[in-house]
Amino acid sequence: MKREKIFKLIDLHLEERAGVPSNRELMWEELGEWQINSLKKLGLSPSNKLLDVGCGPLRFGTYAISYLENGNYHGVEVWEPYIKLGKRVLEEFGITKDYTMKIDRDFDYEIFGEKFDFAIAQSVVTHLSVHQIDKLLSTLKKVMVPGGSFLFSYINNKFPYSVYYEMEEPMITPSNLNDSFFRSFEKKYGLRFEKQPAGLDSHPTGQTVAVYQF
Amino acid sequence: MNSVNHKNFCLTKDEIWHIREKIYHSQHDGYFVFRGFLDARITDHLINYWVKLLDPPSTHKLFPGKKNAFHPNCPSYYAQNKKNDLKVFYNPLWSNRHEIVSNEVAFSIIQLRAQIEGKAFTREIIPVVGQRCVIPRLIITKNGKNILMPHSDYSLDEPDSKNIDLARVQATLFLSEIDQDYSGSGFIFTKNNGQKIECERALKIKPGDLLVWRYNNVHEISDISSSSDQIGFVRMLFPPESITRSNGLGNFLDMGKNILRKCKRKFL
Repeated sequence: MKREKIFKLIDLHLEERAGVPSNRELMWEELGEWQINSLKKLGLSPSNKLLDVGCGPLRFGTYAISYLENGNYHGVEVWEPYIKLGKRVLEEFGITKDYTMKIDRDFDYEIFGEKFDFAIAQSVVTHLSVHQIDKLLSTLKKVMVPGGSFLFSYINNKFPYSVYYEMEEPMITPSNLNDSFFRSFEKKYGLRFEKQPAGLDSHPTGQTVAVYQF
Repeated sequence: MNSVNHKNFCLTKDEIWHIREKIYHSQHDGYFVFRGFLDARITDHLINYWVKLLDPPSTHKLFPGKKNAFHPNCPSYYAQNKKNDLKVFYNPLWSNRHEIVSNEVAFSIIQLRAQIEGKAFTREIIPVVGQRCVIPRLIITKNGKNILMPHSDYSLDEPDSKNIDLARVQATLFLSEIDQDYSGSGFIFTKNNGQKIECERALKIKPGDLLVWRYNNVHEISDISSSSDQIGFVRMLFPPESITRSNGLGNFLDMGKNILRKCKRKFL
C-alpha cells in the first residue's frame, strides 16, 4: 500500500478515536487480499451472503463489499468506534454499495435475520476463550446454511496468554487449540473440520487456518 | 488539559486522544510538550547529581557497545567522548540504585508514553531476552558538530519490517536551557508536514519540560557548543533497547541448563 494511503488510514483512526497506528494499516492489503482470495477458492460468489466476525474497520469489508452483490456483506465487531470508522474507510475507498455492520459482544448473529453461505473470522478465534469458541460455533450453527463454510485462523499456543487491545479490551489467547479440540465440535454441532484446506495460501502472519463446514 | 507532571501522569481519555492527534495525525505537528513536567527542585537535583557530583567509574561500568550491553541484571554504564565533550549514562531501571529520583521520573515518563502509544506499561520495563526494554539514558553534550545525524526510528524505511512500528513515540526530558547553558542547534525535529524546527527555541523549552515526539520522524542534533563554565545540553531519553543474553559464564550455564531441560522433556 502506498505511504499516503497508510497515513490516511492512520488519520481516519485518530479522527474517529478508534486506534493508534498499528499492523492494521501496514498489513491492510496483504490480509485483505488473503481473506478474499481464500474465500473465493472455497467457492464464494457475488450472490452469496457473508458474515465477517470481528470485521474491524472494514479492511476485509473493502474487498468483500466490492465483490459481493449489494447488501450481502454483514460485519460484526465488539469495538464500537469501528462503526463510524468503517463508514469513512469505505468512503475513502470509494465504495458505495450497501452493507450491514453491528456491534455485538454476545455472539448474537440472529440479529441480522439472514442465513449465511460463508463466514470468516480472521485473527478472532486467536483471541477467544474456549467457552467463547463454543458459543461462536453454536450461534453460527443457527445462522449458516447447510453446507456453508466458516473460514478462521488461530494459534495453537503452549500456554494461555492475554492481550489488552488498545488498553481497553482484555482478550484471552487460549492454549491447546489442537486438532482434537476443534474436532470435538464436529459431533456436538454436526460440523466437518478441515485444517489447512488444500489450495489456500498460508496465512500472512503465520496463523493456522481451518474451515468448518456446516 | 490538567497539569501533567512526574507525580500526576494519568491522562483522561480525552487528553489521550488530544495528544495522539497532535502526534500521529498527518495534519498536526508530530510532537506534544508537557511543560513543567519536572519542577525546578527536581531538575536542579538531577543536574547536581549527574552533571556536578557523579564520579562515573565508581557507579557505572564502561559501556561495552550496544551489541551485548543490555541483558537481564546488566549494570549501569557510562560512555565518554572527551573529544566531543560527551557523556552518556545508561541507567537500567534494575541497576540504577544510586540515584532514585531519575528512576522514579523515568517510570512516570514510560507510563505516560505507554498511555499515548496505547500499549501496556509493563511491556518494556522488564528485561526479557529477545525483546525490548526501556533503558533510560542521560546525556550531557558540551561541544560538537553532527552529534546526531538526521535519521528516523521504527519508520517505514526500516530495512527489517519487524522493526517498523508507527505508534512509537520518544520522549526528551530537557534538563538545561538553550542560550543559557549551551548554544547551537539543539534538538532538530522534522514535523509531520516535513518542516524542520529547532525545538528548544521554536517551542520555548525550559528545563523540566518533556517533549514527546513521533519516533518515525527524522530528528537530529547538528551542533552544540558550551564554555567550560556552562553545563551543556543535558537531557534524558527513554529508548527501548534489544535485550540479549549476557556474555561469559552465565551464558554457558544458561545453555547447559537449557540442554538439560530439553533432555528431561524428551526422555520423561
